[in-house]
Amino acid sequence: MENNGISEETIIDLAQLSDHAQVVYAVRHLTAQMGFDESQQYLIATAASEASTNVIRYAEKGRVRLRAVEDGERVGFEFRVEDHGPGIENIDAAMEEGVSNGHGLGLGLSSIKRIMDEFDIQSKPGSGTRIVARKWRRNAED
Amino acid sequence: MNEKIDGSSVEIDGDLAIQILDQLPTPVMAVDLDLNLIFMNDAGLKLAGKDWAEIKGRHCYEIFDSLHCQTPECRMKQAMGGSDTCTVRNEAKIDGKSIPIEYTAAVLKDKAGNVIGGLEYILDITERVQQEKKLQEQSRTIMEISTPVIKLWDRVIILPVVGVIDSLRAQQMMKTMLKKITETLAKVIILDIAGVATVDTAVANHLIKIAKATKLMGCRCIVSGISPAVAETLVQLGIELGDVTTNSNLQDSLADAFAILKLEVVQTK
Amino acid sequence: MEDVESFSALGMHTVGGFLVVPVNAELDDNYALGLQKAVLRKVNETAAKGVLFDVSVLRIVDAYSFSVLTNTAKMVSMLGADMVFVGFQPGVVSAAVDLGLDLGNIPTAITMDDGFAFLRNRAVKRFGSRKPESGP
Repeated sequence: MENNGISEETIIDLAQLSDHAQVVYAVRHLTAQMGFDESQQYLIATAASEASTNVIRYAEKGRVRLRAVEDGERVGFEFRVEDHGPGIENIDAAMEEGVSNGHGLGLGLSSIKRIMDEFDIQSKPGSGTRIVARKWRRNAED
Repeated sequence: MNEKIDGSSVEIDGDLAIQILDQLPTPVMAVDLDLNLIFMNDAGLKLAGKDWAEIKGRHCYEIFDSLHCQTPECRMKQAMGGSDTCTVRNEAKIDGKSIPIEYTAAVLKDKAGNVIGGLEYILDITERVQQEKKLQEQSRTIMEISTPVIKLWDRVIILPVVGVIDSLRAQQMMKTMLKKITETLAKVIILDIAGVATVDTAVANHLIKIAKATKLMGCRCIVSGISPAVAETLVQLGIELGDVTTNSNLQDSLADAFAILKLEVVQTK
Repeated sequence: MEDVESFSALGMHTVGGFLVVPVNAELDDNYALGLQKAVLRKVNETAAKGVLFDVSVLRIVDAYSFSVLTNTAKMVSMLGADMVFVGFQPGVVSAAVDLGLDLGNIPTAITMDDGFAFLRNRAVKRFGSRKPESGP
């Protein structure tokens, strides 16, 4: 893991299955530090886990970037997952519930979108996939 | 080149530049567009076990016969064809011996910016690969140690799971569980996932598969340790655990197990 | 296809009013279909209240023969008898789960004792105090 001093980003390279565990632990750790409650930590780690599992499964290699973001008064957590894998032909179809690609229970993209507050996916067959997702911290009063 | 380096009286000229390249502690080479060698530094010559006179002008793939050579995988050809500089792993065959390497290939341009060949530097990663293999073996050992099945009661066994479940670990878990069920003739197996870092769709899939498998054997699977966080996650993910019995804590799971075995806990007088 | 009598010779027998059906190590299509015919005929002949399929030596299954087995169980059920599969081994179970095969709601047990206990329980539920012939 590198820590990019400029934007305080945590970068994790995905090359083998065990790197996925690293992502999960890092996300749990960072979101806990940022003050997300346990449910939210779990949810965000799950979303990140979905995304990085997809990379390892379909693209074999990729990169995860984690960082805190701010928007005025709110504080949030962002993860970016990038790969240069086969890409997704039909993003809309892939986002549909229960679309299976041979591994049961779909790509999990719709799960990520449901869990996170903001979700963006760019993908082109042949050039790879990029996912950016953010979740804002729930305050005690919410 | 005749640039002055700040604070030093050394000027870099052609000779010094070549000395610098030659003394770089890792093989560096340059080829022309036809992959003929136009330069190789000392480290490269040492790796190849040859003199410059022997290999000058020959194709790079004749010297380092690697898996990528003369295939679409050759990053040197890719770089000269317009791809970005990239670093990849490979295997080179030198004197009949196979050496794991990591090489970086980049394009070589003249002053006008025309592509005139390619540049490459090589890292011998034999030691790194050995370390990785050692780590893999260690983690496999850890996996075997960390899936202990505990006998909780006659015909009731429990498997506590901690950490991250990936598909490799899930397979390992299932194998261990099925074996233990056979050994102990368990009628109930409690899978305690309270210590699991996340439950994503892949993990949920594994749990469903495991429960199906144990049921086929005649052993009921109870998944314990579903915290409010996990419950929220599972619902958010839209996962139906279906037939799988779940509980939030071990006490309830044990009570369920007793019910399945048709056992009652009675207060003695 | 072998005839019913020789299937009896292969180990089908009644125990306490229940029919025990040993299943071979390899379940190919012919064998599965032959077994199905024999089981149904035997259940009818003996008026068995339940059928226990002993699959503890079964090692090799494929999707088709597995479905013949489960269909046999369903047919047995339609004849008014209960059924239970006893002793699926880890290897078969892993393969079945990987192939996506499913036993659905068909009962399974891990030991013969459990299997008989299950069938006895069901028999009592179905027939009330009328118990099957003396047995274990």
